[in-house]
Amino acid sequence: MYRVPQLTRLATTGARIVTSSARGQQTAAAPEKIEVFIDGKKVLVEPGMTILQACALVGVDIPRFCYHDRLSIAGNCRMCLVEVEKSIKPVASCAMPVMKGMRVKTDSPLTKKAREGVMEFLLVNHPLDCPICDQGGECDLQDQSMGFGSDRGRHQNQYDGKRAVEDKNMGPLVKTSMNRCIQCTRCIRFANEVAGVPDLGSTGRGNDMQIGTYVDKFFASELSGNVIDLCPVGALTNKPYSFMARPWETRKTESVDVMDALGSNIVISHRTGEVMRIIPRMNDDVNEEWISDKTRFVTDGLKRQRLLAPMIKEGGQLKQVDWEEALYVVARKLRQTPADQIAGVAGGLVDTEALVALKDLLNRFNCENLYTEESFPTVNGGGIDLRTNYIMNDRIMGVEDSDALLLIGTNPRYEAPVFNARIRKSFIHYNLDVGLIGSPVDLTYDYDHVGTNAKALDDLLAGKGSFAEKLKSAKKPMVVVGAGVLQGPQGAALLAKVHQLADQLRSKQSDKSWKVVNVLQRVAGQVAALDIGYKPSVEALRDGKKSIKLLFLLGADEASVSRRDIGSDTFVVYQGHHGDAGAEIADVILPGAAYTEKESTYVNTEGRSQKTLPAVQPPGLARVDWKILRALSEIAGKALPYSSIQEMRQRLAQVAPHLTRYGEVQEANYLKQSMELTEKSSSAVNAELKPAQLELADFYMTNSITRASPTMAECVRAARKHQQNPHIEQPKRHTAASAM
Amino acid sequence: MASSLTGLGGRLAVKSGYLHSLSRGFAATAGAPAPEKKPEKTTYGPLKDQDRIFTNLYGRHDYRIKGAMSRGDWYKTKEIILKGSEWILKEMSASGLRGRGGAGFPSGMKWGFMNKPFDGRPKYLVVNADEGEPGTCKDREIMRHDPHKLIEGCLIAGVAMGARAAYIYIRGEFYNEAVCLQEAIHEAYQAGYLGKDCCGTGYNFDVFVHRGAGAYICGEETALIESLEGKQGKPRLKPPFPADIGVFGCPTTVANVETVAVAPTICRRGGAWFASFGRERNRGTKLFCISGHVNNPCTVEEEMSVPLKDLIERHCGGVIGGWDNLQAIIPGGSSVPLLPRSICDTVLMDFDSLVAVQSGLGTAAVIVMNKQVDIVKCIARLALFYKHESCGQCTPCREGCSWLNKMMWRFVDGKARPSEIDMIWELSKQIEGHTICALGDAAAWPIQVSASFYF
Amino acid sequence: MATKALSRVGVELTKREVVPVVSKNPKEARKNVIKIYKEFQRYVPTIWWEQELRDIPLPQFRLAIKNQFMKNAHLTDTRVVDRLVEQAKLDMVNFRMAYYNDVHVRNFLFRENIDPKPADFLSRFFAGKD
Repeated sequence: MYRVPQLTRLATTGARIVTSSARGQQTAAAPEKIEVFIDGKKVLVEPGMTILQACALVGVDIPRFCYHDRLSIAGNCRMCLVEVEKSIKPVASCAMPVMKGMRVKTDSPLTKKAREGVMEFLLVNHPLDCPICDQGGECDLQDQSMGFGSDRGRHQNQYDGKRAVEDKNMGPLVKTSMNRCIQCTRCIRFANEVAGVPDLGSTGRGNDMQIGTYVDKFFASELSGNVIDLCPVGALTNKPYSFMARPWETRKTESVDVMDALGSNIVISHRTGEVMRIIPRMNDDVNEEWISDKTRFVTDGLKRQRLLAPMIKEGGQLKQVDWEEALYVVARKLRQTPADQIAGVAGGLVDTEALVALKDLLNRFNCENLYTEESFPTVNGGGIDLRTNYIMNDRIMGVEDSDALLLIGTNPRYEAPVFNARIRKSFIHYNLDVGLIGSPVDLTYDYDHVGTNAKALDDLLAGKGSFAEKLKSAKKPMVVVGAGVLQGPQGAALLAKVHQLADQLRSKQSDKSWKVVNVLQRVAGQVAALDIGYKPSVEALRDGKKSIKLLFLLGADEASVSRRDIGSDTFVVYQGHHGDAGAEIADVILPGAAYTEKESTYVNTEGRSQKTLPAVQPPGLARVDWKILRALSEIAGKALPYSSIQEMRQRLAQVAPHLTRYGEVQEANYLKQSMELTEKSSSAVNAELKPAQLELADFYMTNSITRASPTMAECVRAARKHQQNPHIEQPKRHTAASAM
Repeated sequence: MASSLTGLGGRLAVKSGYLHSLSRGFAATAGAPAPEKKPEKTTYGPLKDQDRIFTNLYGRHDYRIKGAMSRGDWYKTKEIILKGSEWILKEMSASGLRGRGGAGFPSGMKWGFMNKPFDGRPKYLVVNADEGEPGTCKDREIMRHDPHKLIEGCLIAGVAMGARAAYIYIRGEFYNEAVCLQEAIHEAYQAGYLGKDCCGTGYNFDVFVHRGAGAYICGEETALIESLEGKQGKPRLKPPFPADIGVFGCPTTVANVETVAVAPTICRRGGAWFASFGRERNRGTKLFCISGHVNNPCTVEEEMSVPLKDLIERHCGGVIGGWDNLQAIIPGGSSVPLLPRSICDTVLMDFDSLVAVQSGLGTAAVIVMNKQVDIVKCIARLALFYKHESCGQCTPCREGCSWLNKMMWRFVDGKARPSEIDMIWELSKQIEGHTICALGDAAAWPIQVSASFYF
Repeated sequence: MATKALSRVGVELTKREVVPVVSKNPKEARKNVIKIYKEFQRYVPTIWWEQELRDIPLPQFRLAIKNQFMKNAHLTDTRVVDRLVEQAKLDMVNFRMAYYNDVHVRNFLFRENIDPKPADFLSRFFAGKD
């Protein structure tokens, strides 16, 4: 069915209203507002708005099932019917654009009768599943039937019966009970438009209409969990969470996700000290209303493989001890080891407070060897000294303003799925041209495959190729380079090339605040670590020049440093929450808290500092990370000057003020100096740019929490099996023009 | 250039043989004082053979181009096209032709909606040959016996609208008709009447046949457009109307076969000639398909506003068992409410008079039911039809039609209570007007009327 | 004048001798105290058995009750003593009606034995999650 593209959006906090798809016209010429009367109240609205949106401006909530402000308009639930004067039939307010002088009555008898009628029809074939349905308590159908439906039904179940529909198998994440489906088609529109995986559709006609994948297919999208939020009834529900809790029993804690570097805002629903599920929070600047599957379904990973008590290795075996003993052992080692033989390595899930505490602690012992597991080039562009070098300068929202986007060595579909959804949105609605240098992956939108090797950058610099033309003529080009390909020996040269290209594109622009160069980080803790002053690579430890006798692994689980690298006499202290690669080589284990269990700060890839709040307590004897380091410092004799979270935050503000300015992005400057520090070279960088995650099976297990999750393991299994499904089309290389 | 063309048209109007019958007070000269209203007819009787438009309705003659040309198709098409779209639109408006597909919208006005300046999108004409309405069999007669009328009509209507191509969406079940039509189109291309430089006028026009796959809902104009585009045949929301955003996003007009097929004859014989049949606002001739309990069920071309009784008695040999044996008649295909016996005696078969008795002309598929019929079972069968054909997009139609169907069959079996008559009436009121397309209305009306008359 | 003089004298008199309400002299007050003490101690086994206080050894419980009485042994003011006797009677009623549950009893009787909350960072850290 033809669906009107949804180009206008409500003026909610933070949302932007775009009235036309023509570029460069966004807020400049605001069209003249027209007056509309809603229930007698006059309101001035922009011309493209629908009646439903206009009513929302006044505060009148019209019931609806199929309308969603981030999807296209379907108009098929008919619940939003309102009476408009001079119209014989009631009108679907979600689809009808406002016209001058329109008088809308949302509380007239006709409207009420229409709503009751439609609700009656919806309930005719809806099963009486409320007691066993997971959506009970947060179900749109329940709420709207109470609010707008009639008080009794006339359907004679014993004579006419209800429809029964088979359940579809969509994978280990989404549980389907299609009996409950009201065919609102929100899931279909989401899969088609936002996720870009057009696997969901409707088959059958009339009352036999069924929503599903038609063949037994895994809903192979990294954003598949969002249909659970979208479905207004309990047809699509959270499979790992099924039958676990009712929404009124759970407490909701607002927090931030750390599975990728976007910092999607989440709400953790927990009850009796157990994390039940994670649902998204709306934040138009970061994640709109979507979260990726990893974010959503990782809750059972938080309960497995947890480090519960401090442990010391004696005779090759780890033995559980109590805190005093463990901290004493570590403190003694700390005091005994000379300063240049101590080192600290921070992993990707570590919060800012712990990073600052570790740095403070080691600095007090005159040690400067603090590294992050994830590398980043330290020369060119100012290395890690200038902030513009390692954050996404144009912000995630910048994708919507941009008109040409070059992705270098990254697969945003799996590295930052919600970011990819935003690129797709810009591609569809704002005609964004996308080019990719790297492995040709299926990004769910068309792109120009400029090349697989970094040599293609030189072609772009020279202006060769069709995409170079697009970049040159673009008013706001964006170049996003993935942090993954900046690792390794070629990283520095690649970064230099990227800066050269960005500088060339910047010189054509008039808007000085548009920076062009952006880095998409892969782990949540990297930006904060670099802001604080950690050195970004463990190469220094590995090359054996330093002989490290005491190594602090703070959540370092990616096995970047192994026993072979450091030597058998190094004393390794691991502080983290999961027993993964780091704990394996440790001599002392100090159990820390995961991101749902502490009040901490994470800085996302744009440089936006966001706060997490504790939903549950750390399990067993585990403690919050920065407190462990503070206790250690006291036992070691050099107590850190903060004992409470407020004092810790003051220290954070001292180190870098933006760390405590939550929710804002601070502009990073010094681009000119950054360019001065870049080695401009004319020789091409010869490096195959291959992102680490190429297919869906690679997406699910990327950090210690996801590796411990059985749900994620199921997903990997399903994704691998899905490759052999005879009903999938071969993933095509989306090339707008094969520029080979 | 334009003025010389109209002058040419004016001379043609006087000299052409077919147009002599226009000599009934037709003020053809411009600049004359306002023409007097010619006296209205009061009896609408049998259509004279020389006034018939569809001369090969029964397939007695050749349908191919030779036969068609011998019957007058493709005669001076070039001149008509050269007269320009305004002239054609004027003729259509003057003829008072109303859409023959069921809705009855004035065609001149509807085709005039496409008169927009070029904005980068080509315009299309889509011919609705998905003859899904139960009881209707007129379009198939046109398409298999007189296809060239349709093709010429496509061309002329296309010129009137400024269309680039015509898509004839033909129902999937009409295999033979599609074959005949495609054959005729092939002949027209070969003869140079279609394609680049049609008839030598320099206008490029293409006609495509697209076969459907067996869904009644695809007879609805927006569902037809969706099906043509290759998607599921589910109706769109209106606004935006097809004249704004239609097939492939381009301005489109969807017209019925009969409407398009009478266009060339109107242009040749003049709009006023066409307007000489029928009452005010119900002008022209119509193909009536009479079926059911009559002695000779058939398809006839008759004048509009012909009395129903005359239509049945004259052309179909009367009701089986005599006129007194009549129980009810559905005058326009299953989508319109039925008429009980008392009304059938005097009602005229045209748009306005049937609307006045709370029915409608629809597609003029007259279904005659005599006293041997169980009306409840008939309505139940109609409800089953609508339940089967509902597309399932919007809630009232999808759930409501199914519910109505189940209730109707319980009425047939006698397993219902009297209070359910009022309930079913109320349910049909809840469906009517609340749906995306008119199928909900069509499903609801028979039930409503029957509930008031029969239950 | 006379009343003033009299009241002055009355004040002086009342300064020396309290006018009791319930018990007229300290001896009677003491008798009441002993009476209520004995009644309480006779009632202790019932409370101990019925209200989940069995994990405390009975002699220790009796000692705790005795300590509560002994805490106020230094008081001389008859009115205060009477008040406390009434309070003890009310406590007994509350026990019988189970308005005081076992946790209340425990918290009250043994509140001196509760460890003080850790004050400094390290003790808080070792003690648990704060």
